[in-house]
Amino acid sequence: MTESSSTRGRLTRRGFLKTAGAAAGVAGLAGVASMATADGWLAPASAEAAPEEHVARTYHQSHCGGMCSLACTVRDGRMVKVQPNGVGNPDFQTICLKGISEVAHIYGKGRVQTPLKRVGERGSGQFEPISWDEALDEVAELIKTTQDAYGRDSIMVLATAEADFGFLAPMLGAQTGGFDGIDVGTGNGLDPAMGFGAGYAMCAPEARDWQRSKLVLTVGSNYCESSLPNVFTFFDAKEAGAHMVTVDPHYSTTASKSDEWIPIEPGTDAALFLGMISHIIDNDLADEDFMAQHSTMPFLVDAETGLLIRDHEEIAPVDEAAEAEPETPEQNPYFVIDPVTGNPVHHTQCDTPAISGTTQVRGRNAVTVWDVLVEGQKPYTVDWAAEITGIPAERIASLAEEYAEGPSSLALGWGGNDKMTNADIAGHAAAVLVAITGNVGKPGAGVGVYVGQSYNSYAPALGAWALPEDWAAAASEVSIYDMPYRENNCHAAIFCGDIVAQHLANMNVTCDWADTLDFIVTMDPYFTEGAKWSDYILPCTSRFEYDEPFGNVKAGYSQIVIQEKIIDPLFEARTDLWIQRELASRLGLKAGIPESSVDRCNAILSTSTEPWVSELTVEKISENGAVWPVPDREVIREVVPDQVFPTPTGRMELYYDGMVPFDQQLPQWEPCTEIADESLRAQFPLQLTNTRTRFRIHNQFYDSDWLQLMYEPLVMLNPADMASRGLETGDVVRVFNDRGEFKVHAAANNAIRPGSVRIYEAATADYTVAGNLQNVTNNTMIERGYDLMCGPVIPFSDTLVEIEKA
Amino acid sequence: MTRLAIAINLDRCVGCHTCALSCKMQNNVPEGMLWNRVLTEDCDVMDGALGTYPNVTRTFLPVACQHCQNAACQRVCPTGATYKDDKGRVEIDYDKCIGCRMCMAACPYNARNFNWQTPVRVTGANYGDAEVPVRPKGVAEKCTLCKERTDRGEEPMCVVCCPAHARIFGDLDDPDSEISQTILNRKAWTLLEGQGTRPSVHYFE
Repeated sequence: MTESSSTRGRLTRRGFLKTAGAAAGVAGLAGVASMATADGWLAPASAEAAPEEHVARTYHQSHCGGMCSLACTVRDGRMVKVQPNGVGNPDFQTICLKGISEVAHIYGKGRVQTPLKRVGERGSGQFEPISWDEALDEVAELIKTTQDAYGRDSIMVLATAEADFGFLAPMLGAQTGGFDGIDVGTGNGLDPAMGFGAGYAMCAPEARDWQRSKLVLTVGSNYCESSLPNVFTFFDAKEAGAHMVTVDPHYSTTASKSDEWIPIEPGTDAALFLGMISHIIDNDLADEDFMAQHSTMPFLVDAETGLLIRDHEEIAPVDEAAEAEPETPEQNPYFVIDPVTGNPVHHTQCDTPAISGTTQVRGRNAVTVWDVLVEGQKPYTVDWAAEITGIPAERIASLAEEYAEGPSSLALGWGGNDKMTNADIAGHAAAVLVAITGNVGKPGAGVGVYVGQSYNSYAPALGAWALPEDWAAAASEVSIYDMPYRENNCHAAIFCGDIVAQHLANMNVTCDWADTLDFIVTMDPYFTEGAKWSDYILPCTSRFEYDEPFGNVKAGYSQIVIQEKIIDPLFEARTDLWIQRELASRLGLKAGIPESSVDRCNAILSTSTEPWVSELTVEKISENGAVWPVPDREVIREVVPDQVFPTPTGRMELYYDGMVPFDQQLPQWEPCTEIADESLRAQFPLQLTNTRTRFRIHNQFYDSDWLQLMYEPLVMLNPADMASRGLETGDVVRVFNDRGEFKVHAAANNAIRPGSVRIYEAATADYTVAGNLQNVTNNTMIERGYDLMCGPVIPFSDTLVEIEKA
Repeated sequence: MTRLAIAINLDRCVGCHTCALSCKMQNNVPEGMLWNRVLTEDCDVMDGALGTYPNVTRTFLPVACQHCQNAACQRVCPTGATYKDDKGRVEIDYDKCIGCRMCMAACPYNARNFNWQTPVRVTGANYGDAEVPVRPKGVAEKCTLCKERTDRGEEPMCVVCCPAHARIFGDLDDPDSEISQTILNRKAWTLLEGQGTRPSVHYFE
């Protein structure tokens, strides 16, 4: 060992005793209201007999994007061990601490053990056990009564990502809550340009592509926590030489693992992108070939109306009630300038039009989108962006130069700026930044959310169980977040997962609305805050329990994964499929539900449009190790490799005609509504970031004993903000604004930006000192939001609070 | 000779604690104990940072038994319960442990746990590897380098489960092994070298 390495500033011996590690948390946890006890189920099996041991496989959570296949050891009927499972390349055999924690979690105190019926006030959490027959009979009767009185769509069914309740809404003809207002902030602005991404900015190649990038610019994403099972891809890229730069208000885990962290003022990601765009324009760094051939930058805009000019005005449909299909760009082309003649021509007649120029079309003054952009960018200088973002102007300039040189990946997220009122502008500005540099559709270049490799990898085209023809969910005219404010026909709700506390901001408003419903049923393996607002709670099995050999088939990380039965259902829990079948039976609809989950698995496979999938059976996949790799998955998955975008024009469509009434046809800076409100800030000076953590998936795992070792709800402040409030680490604090309050422990952390505080999302009353985090979060929907692709985003983090010692 | 060890890449470590829980699961580690902890170096809070915003740093440091060649715990053990085995691992013979906790006082890495009471498990039953002995009240316990797994030729569970691929397991006495080569080429170090314990567990960046 060399002298230099032995004198590194490593811990002193004393340091091992005081340094922060697990089981040294500051917070004591209030006991969670225990459910009806069923001690017998948890008793260990007899120690007399020789232990029987076997291994079965299932997949874990989908909505971290991990979808890890897990090999689970069962001994004497109990799950005792969980390991990564898979075949072939070990990179596809993933796991994280959440999967491992299931060994204790599924037997934990959070499980709903029997069907429960409310006996106290809604929200009080007081229930009594009832039998399955009683519960199902009463719920079926309530459904019938409500639908008879108010129509079929008077029932709302909302199922979260981990629930397997896909039959319920179509079977009942229920509405499904419309847009959900979550994770769509950035995608609202980015995806219309890309033509894909589903509004969730899921338009990135897989993260293995980073190995081929020169720059990986992460903005508003914490990949090293939220994509934990695939975090090796971050380091594979770093070791391959990619320059990892992370922009985040806080010194996040990803920031600390990057080559460089650039701190930014919360809610100003759009201003950073606008400043970078200006620097690229001003210094002639733009990729004109890409813009001319693959974007709508050359398209002509009417200088007065601001609308794109097409061959003819949209023909109004004869029958106004009829759904009018918009004309295709071939039927009604746009105009561009032919660079040879200088004349306006249809975009379909010129592959490489002029980027810049003015002309006349049908007597109207016309100018290219690029020229509109260049003109509109003039206020957004690098110095202006520096003022807004707090990032030095020279760093914005050098970052823009590095990004433009490429190939660069722009990794965006759902947990940061996505939860701000101006998130769509940041997404739109990101699209423009990508387009003017051509950083898309080639190795090492991409944009979007890279989190979750089961989202971004090769997805096998699975089929589906065919529903009866007359089964269809009803239209949802009012989205759930607007139900407290807008007239709607929702009279009762069936929630598969925690909707009340997890999916909606400003919880006091949510609860007042929930209390107006005729009945609420929650179906969940675990007792949640939202469940307290229910009239019935039905206990579902976890991912590890089933009543048949095979439960379901899903698309994982470039492989098909299956759910094998690991253990029998615990307590009185029943599978989601069983619950749906029993309800259907009571409503005379049983014929539409598969009689067996194995039949369903094989239908999902056999109805695939891809022959290699349709030839599979669940039994065959089981024999292969419970995963079936996508052919050629070793090749890094790219998106739009030919740079032909799945937009109507086949180009990156950067100019949003529909946003002209809001002056957002090209991205224009607009500050966040709440945190930029100086007068409100005088009263509530701290921005509250509620973001994701490796220790939870949204509200899940709060009840996990093993994960409670690592984290209990804690609001983190910069030491300066602690000191000015007379706070010390470990104090209980009251976090409050005009909407409400909650109490948690506080900790000083130098990673936190002054003026901003951070708490991990979904801190609910059973796990805080008192109250719910959502009591204070912002539910103000901006007007522009209703004209965006996925409706407005709930601006959870555009929230101001004050904090004081409780 | 064989000297089994782990080398940990601190640049890759994201402080996720998957190693801590995979160890807890595999080795049936009871409530209130972890054999393997992830420290946020020199910070009072997990995921804290050193310095003043925005000039801050953070190092995650996973710490378990360092399987020292000159193990302080072994030297002070009055019964020979703590011993160095033929694969270079520091192990505990639970039958010989009298619960004097001299080892815990001697270990400079705070790597040991003690069963002050009859072990409690939240699941109400044992979990993990069937071959791992169940420890009674009154004995010390710690990382065994997954003795049962490594005896079967398998890697320790923390190495198998690390999502960042930050851990390398192998034989330090084999100069051609990946771990030996990595230690050489990446200028790996050990913790508290001044203590003279000569740990087998190495760290590198």
